[in-house]
Amino acid sequence: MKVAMVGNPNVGKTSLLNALTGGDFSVGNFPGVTVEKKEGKGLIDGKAVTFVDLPGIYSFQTESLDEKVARDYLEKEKPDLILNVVNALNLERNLYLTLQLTRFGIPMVIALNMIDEAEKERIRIDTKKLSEIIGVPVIKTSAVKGVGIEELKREILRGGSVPKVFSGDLQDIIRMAEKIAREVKVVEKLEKPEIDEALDEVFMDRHLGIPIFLSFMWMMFMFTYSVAQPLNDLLSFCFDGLASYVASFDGWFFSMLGDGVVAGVGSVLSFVPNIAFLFLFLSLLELSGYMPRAVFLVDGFMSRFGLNGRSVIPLIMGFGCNVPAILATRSIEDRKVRIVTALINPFMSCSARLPIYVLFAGIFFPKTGSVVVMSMYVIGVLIALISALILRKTLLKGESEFIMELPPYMLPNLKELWLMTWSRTKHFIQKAGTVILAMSVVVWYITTYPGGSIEESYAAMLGKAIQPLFSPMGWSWELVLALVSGFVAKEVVVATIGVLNIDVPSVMTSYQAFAYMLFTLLYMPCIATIAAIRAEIGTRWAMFAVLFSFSVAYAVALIATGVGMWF
Amino acid sequence: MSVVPLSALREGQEGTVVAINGGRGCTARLMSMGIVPGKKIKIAGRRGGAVLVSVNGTKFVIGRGLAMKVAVDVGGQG
Repeated sequence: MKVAMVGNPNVGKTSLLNALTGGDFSVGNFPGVTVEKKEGKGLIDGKAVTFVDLPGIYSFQTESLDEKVARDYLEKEKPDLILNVVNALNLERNLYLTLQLTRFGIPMVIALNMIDEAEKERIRIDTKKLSEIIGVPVIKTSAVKGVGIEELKREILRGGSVPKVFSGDLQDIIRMAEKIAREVKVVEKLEKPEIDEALDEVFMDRHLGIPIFLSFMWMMFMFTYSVAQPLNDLLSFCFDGLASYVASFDGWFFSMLGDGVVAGVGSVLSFVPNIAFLFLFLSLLELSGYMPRAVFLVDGFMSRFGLNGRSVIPLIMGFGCNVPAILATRSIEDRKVRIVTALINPFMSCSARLPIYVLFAGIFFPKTGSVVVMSMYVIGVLIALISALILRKTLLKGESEFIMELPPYMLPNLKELWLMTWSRTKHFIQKAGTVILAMSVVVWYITTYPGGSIEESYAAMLGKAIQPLFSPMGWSWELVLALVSGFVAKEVVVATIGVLNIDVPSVMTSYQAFAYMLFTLLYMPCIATIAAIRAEIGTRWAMFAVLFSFSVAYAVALIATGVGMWF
Repeated sequence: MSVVPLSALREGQEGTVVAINGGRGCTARLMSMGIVPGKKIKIAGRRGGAVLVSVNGTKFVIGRGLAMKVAVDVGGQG
């Protein structure tokens, strides 16, 4: 038996699914779309029931991706039963969707969820009357408190009943829903829960709101990069060991497997702890209900650059690593804003670029080193915001229209937290992993052949061949080769300079070094970042990101060199 | 009666939704979320960009662009 769960966002569908199945989920993704569909299998009185948790929607009228997924599922897969989850706190609005569901002609059961909260607010709903009007069983439930779950299971097994059909356009539906809500609902005393109001007062305070938000961001940052770091180091250590062990066998195949596949895939997989910890924190922010509040706080600033409040989290995350940051753009609904946020993300200077700045600043700017390093971060942010503005005025024009419901604050359930974190992490491993595998082999090949070492490789030839491109900046072919190798991961630039034994102070002046630092800040993102961009917004945009960032880097480095020569 | 866009309301000001002046998709989206002509709407906060509104006991953050499309009657106080 197949049961489709349909309801507005924030009605507690996932909690209910959890309560019905005892937490036995298999989380799956719809192929080709980013919207997730959760599936849970449960045994009710020995009968196997499959629950499909469709994305939370408000209606079937706006042609959004979520609605399309839900409608296609109901029309094509023809589930045996629709379990319509209704938030008892906001019956009227939830009924808009309920009435539109009657048109599918599929048997239905209504779960009047969050009934405990509604009763606390003195909202009384006559379920018998509601059941008569719509023609389907209505059960009061509270997934969190475990109320009504057994009764709901029994009704599900009975198979519900086909509802009376309510048709008409959205206006008619709304009028009918208003009328029904008036008939079945009694509000004895309308009062918002004090705790929610108090939390909102604090979190969205004119003066306190932003400092609180920034401290949460700082915590997220520490959690993602510092707390997860030992795990990350452990994985890199294991992969490095495995890579050199495999590569120690004779023959090109082992070299490819070790230095190419294991080293390359390993370098990406060792980010998994960071990514999992980031997703854990983000899921916590989302499930607790804080996220929409933060979005409201920063929207004014972000909208000046054609972005919206939702862009701020990915941008801040970019300072750590652009890969999880780009994955975090998934929470932005507006497609154009989302693409722009992902495209400008590599300009946020990630931690892998710091060793490069430290190396050059140490050599050329011994006294003002920290200011120079800091200036890299600031220039990165400025260029990101300016690029956003330009992209939104040209290629990705259009007004960003967003509306977001502020859900009540909630203490997240551990199981849900885990499921959300895991399904997102898995998505990263699958999508980024496959691209990395192919890219790693290519990079291994060009840095190993034909000479056997990087100095006599195709990469070196490439460095020499494209060096004239960088002659205006006056960089030697070794420095260019270091840039080429930085394509794998930016920290490799430093490693290559080491391997090639470049005497840096003798081949460049301080302004050239500054231009070189700017170039490494801005030029094409590393493979892992490109893979993340491709996974999130597609191959064409990933190619655009490479070209765009390269052009910006080139222009900026050229300007820096030009200005430097004047002094 | 005086009708102004929702985006022009001050913090704390209240009004009644009169119309939504947008395309079909955006009108349907707002209405499905309960922002329907005839409803009382209150600005619970604003910070330059988005406005925070309260309708039917539910709070929403609405971006400036979208807020401009909601026409609100603020009675005599507009």
